[in-house]
Amino acid sequence: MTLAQLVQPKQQDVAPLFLRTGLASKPLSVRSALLQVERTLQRAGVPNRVQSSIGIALAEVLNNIVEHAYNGCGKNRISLSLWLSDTEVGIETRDNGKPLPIENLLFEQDWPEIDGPIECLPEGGFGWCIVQELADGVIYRRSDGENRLTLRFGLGAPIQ
Amino acid sequence: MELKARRVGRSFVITVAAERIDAAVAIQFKDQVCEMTKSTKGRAILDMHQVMFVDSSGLGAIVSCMKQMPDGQALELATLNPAVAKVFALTRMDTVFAIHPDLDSAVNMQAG
Repeated sequence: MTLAQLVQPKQQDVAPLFLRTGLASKPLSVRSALLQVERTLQRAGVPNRVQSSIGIALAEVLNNIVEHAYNGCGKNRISLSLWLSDTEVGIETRDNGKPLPIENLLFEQDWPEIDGPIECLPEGGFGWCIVQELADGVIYRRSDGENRLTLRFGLGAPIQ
Repeated sequence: MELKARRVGRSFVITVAAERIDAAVAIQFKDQVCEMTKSTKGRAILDMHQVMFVDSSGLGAIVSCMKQMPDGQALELATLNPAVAKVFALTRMDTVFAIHPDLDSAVNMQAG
């Protein structure tokens, strides 16, 4: 085993980072970041089905940070990293807002009730259900006043 | 956000001339659609062919528009792109809205 092999992690173990960016906690900045992620995934050849799942789930995560962690104050920062391995796309968001309520992380969340009359249809409350449904893994850590949320999306088949 | 309204036969068609109905425009979208539909009679169809992305705020705005239709009329949807259809399917809102594959079949369908 050469020294290079010793110090270089195997491809499967550590996926190369392929996007690191930061954004302001504002809806229009969220939109720009999502478009940037979309372009990055497109260039990397990530299948459309996975691309749309990532776009939909990440929108909910970022909107949640803007609206709830930062209470709609647009002057804060969110950082976003994306990496790609042979088998999955990983995304991490970091923010310094309020901690994520633990019930958002439970896997058996109830979807809002939609079977009642039209006037009772829910107009919200879907965000975390959507994230849990679309991501293949969700890991949350709170440390030093920082929220770190990692989402994993399996690719199905390796990218050629 | 740009919305184009026109009458096609007996249907009132609102075309969303935007690629995204997201948190940045959800309230504006809802207010504009409600304003356009408040005195409508007959069928109202939201033509979504230009819309590539809807988040849960956008979905909530569309639901709100449906709830504010006069006299309990329905707001129907036409031409959902795949990522938009996915959000409707995940939340089962595809069981609440009449969704037409394209505008032609939407306007040519007899009102039920």
